[in-house]
Amino acid sequence: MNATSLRHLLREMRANWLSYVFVAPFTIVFLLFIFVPTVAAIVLSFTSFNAIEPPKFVGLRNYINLLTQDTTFWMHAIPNTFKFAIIVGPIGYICSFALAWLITQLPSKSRVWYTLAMYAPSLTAGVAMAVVWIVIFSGDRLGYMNSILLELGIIQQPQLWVQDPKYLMNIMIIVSLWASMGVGFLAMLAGIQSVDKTLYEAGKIDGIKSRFQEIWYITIPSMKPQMLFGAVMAIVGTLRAGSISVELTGSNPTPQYAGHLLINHVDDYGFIRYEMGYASSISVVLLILIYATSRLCWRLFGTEGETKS
Amino acid sequence: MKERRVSKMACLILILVFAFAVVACGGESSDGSPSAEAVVKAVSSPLIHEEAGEVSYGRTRAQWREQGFEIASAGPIAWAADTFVASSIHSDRLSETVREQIEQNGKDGAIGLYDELDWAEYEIEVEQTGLYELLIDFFALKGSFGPIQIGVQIDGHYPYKEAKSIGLNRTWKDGSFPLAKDENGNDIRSVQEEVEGWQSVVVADSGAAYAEPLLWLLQEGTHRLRIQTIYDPVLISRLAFSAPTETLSYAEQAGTPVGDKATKGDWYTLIEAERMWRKSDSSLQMSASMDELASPKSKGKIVFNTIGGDRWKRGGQWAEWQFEVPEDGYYQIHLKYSQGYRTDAAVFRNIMLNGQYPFREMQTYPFDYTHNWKLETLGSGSGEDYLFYMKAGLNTLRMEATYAPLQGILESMQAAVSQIQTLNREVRLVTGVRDPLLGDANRDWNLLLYLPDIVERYEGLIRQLEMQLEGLESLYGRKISSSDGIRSGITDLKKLKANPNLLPKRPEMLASIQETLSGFMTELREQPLDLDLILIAQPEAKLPDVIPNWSERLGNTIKGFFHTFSSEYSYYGREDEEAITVWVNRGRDYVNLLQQMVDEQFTPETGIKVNINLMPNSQQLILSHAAGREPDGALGIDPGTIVDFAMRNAAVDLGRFPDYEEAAGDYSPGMRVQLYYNGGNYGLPETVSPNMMFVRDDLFQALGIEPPQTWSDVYAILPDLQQRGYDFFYSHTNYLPFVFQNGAEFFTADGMRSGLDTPEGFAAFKQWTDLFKVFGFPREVPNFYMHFRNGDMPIGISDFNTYLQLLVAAPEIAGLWSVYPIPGMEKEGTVARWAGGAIQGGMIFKTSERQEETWQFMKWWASEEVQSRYGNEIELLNGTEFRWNTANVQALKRLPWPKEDAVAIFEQMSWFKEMPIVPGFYFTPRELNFAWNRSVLSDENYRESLEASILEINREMRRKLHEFGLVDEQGNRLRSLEIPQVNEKWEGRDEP
Repeated sequence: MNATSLRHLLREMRANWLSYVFVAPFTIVFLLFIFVPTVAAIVLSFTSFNAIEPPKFVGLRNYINLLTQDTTFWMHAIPNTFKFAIIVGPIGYICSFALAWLITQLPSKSRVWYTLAMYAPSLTAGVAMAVVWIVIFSGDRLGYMNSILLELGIIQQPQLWVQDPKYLMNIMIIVSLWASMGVGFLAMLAGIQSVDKTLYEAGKIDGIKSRFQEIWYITIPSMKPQMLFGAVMAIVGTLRAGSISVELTGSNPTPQYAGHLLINHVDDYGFIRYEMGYASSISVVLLILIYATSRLCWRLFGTEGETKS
Repeated sequence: MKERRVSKMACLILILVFAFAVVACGGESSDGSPSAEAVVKAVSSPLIHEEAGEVSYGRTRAQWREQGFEIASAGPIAWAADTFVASSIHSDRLSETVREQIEQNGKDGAIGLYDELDWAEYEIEVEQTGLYELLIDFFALKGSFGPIQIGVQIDGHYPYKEAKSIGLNRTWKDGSFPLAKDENGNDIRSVQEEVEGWQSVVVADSGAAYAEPLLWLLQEGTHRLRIQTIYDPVLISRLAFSAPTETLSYAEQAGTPVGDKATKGDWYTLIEAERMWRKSDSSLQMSASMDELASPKSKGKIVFNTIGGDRWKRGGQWAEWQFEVPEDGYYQIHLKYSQGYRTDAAVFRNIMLNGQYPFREMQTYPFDYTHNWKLETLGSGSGEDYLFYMKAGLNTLRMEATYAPLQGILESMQAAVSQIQTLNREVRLVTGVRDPLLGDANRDWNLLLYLPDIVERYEGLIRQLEMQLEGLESLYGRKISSSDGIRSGITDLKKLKANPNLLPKRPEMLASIQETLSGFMTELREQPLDLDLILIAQPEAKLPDVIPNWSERLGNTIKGFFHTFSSEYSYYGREDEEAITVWVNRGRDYVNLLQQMVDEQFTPETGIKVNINLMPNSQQLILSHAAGREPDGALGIDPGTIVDFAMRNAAVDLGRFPDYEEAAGDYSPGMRVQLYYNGGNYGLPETVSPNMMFVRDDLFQALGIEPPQTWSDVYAILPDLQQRGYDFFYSHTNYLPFVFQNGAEFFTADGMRSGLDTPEGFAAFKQWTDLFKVFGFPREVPNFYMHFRNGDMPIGISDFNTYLQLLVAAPEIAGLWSVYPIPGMEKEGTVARWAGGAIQGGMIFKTSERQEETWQFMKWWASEEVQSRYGNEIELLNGTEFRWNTANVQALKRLPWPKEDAVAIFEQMSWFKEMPIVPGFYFTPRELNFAWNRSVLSDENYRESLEASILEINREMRRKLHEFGLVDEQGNRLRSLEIPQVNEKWEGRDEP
């Protein structure tokens, strides 16, 4: 029974060999660079591994420690990450949609340039960090922020924006929002443009009174896949963020853990304390978090689309 | 013409400054209000910068001109050096090589100035009042590799600032041509050879700040001239004052070359710039362009084919080329250069033919901004190409970096800076606000009451800065982008002028203008230029096509892209299977020299071959270890990483080699404690960068205070400093000296807990934070070196890099500063000066199959002999800025230090002690900095703040100790780490 079905499967595979060739590049790359590392991380998260000696199996010890012992994780990494994600994720997402919609209202010639202008920050984040944001939030009097606020008399002395725990998180949020018009934004732009024009006409006949109703009843329902994609990208992007605090302050950990995100926590354990096992378990938790939140998005945007297709 | 206008303007500015200063001083005392008078009294102490011997040559020269002193015309006054009337010469401490040199090269009438501050005094009879040049015949004795510095006093004082440190250059050449190549076909830098010989020079400013030699005012009558060494020994045979000869301009030159036979002809010769015949500085080095556009082409290898860039930008650095011309006659000179360093601005070179300026236009010849290679034919700039007369046979061409055209602007900028300093100080005295972070916004001041002339002073400053901008624009012919700083400074000054009472609220405004100006001045002084080819040609010669055209440039870009795929592109060193492999975390110059020394000395002696490989990043060690591709040994690794390997059972305990004690004996226990873990010694220190205290002697003398020996001394001199607007620099992350000097330890002796939880620990933390909370030390100082040069931070504690920077790149204060051991705490009559510094070390990996041989290599490398040879050679090849700060104290003594500096450095080295490394050690600096933040920035109680940190440190340590099996689940000690205790000053292997 089993043997025959296997043979049957093999025969079918041979008959469709061309299709396998076509999916092979992606499959190989996916397995090598995404699947294997993820599995390795999950396996390592059950071990104590110091990067030099062979890993030792410790069962759930890492997870127990993470949940019961790690004060920095609970006091800083988790609250910071959530604060960061809850603000940057939804606002970035809403901004992406709003901007995408606004851009589609433009004549098609200028549309390209606006799109480029919005999309560019997410590509150039690293360079822009050095030339734009560091200069703006520079701690001396010559930084733009300090200079303007001093000028207006709002502050009396230059503020150490990125060193001061009071401001660091807010600045991280602002910078991330600026750079959040990424792939999700492009997808939404494409989604809005692909909505069938006749639907709008039909809607008008059926009594839609305002543009807002148009968006709510026609645009959004017809582009749910893109909305879902954008949401997932926003969630993944914000939870994965971490380099930004290091780039702004130039140190990991940030002063008094003010900008300590989950990824920084992984770095701290992985490359300062050389506890790869523990670092892996943090990243597994992060993976679960990302998965759970993207399920939530699925709920919000995906159900109908999924069941229908 | 242009130069003349600039110098005229500079004079004008100077006069204005002077007049202004007089007006300013006079203006203050005329105010009637009593409180204001008190303030004025307090501030009218003379400006320290303006005291005798502090005035620059340019200003002195202008004053002389005003007072009507002419250039002398009488014949030279010459005398032999041994006709001194008084001297302090003693030759008892000469080294063997110097003795030999003197024997071979001594001359009749020659005397030697050997020790620092040796001097000889002469009495000279002057018949005609006037300005003279000073000629010296000297022979440079072996000392360091930098120029010899002397001071010249007339009648007991320095006539101007520049006279305090005059550089007598040594002459150098590259040892061998063609260059040797390594096994991959890359060029290896040539050995630098000093060209010994008597030189006759006219004394000029050591930074070539003036186009002409320095002039000395001698009035009719008898004078005493004193020559004094500052750095390095020298023989002097003859001295002379003579009337300066005027260099004629091109047009004034006798005999115009028109119709001359030699103006025809089509001969030319091509000189590769990297083939220098002589040079002033061993650090003026050839460099590799790494492209196909310079000659000879690099073809993907490292070929040294140009000179310049960062290695040829300091004023006074010159290179000389020798070439042969076939017949007497006139020739043109073409230079293939590029200057992409100063956007829109020119850099300057003095050009000399056979040791003399052919005509005045060759002084400060400008090279314009060009990003690509360009062929410059020396000419007037308006189309006329100059013709140079040369005799058949050998000729030399010399090019010297100079910033003379900018000197006037620089001086008036300096004047503006010191005016700003004064103003700042006066305002501080009125308001009592010292720390820019403590400005009180809710308090209004009527500054005009106390400083009635403040508006005029702002106006004066604005005028000055505007004139400097104009000066720059007329010099370069356009606006330069780097002067934007001045423009924003002017805007700020205008704002202050409009509202003088803004300053007490925003005390940092003036300080930041000052900072911008200082930074800009440093930039102006640097004159980088790349030079590839020199062509000497007869006027009708058809020149070869040496400038790459666009298709060659495109081709180069494409080739360059493909070269990145070749294995040689990122060549990290030899890969011989039979050899042991050592990775070195240092630059390529260091790695190449080490490989060379190994091949020359170590391999023949022991038969062990070694691959020295470059490791760009020490993180690679961990990753390669995880991949099982680690080397046998590694050098240049920080102790944290070495002990990290040791804790994880991956490093070899060097202590188990029987001759470890012998090899490690030259290294102090305070260094070795960082490489110690759990009973083993896992590395040997290589380099160390100890904390030192830097003091501006001139300013301290003017204030009448002594460099502090203890922290109580520091607190005692602080009011003297701060009253005058000076600051003490102390890095806010440097907690270590206080911990050790208070007798606290970072960890308990068993290495299980933080050792800061003691009365001494809290005292140390309080003392550290009080510097910033109570004593007003500046919290954030981005660049101590600049402040130290400017003089607004005349004292500070910094590391070895600052020492090198000051030694190499601050010629204007040479001899005016000293290093001292850092202040300590007095205990039972001795001052304990414990302090640390960054260490790098070497280690051997446990996975190596050839540990014994690797140890042989380590031992060889750490030995006194090899360390001192390496230190000398790396410095010789690359200049003083590459001074090898070896941790081997015996070898350190054999490097060319100024003697007094050496004493201070060795004293500090014997108090060297670093934080031991135990599991979880990284939490101590992290938490201490958090604690500093809470205590200083958020004003939390120091005790609570430190307690919170100690709690965190102990938590982390316990966690880590458990990971390494040193404590059990409940935190009970299973083993002790037994950190070696270093409590005694280290006297060295054998006391000097």
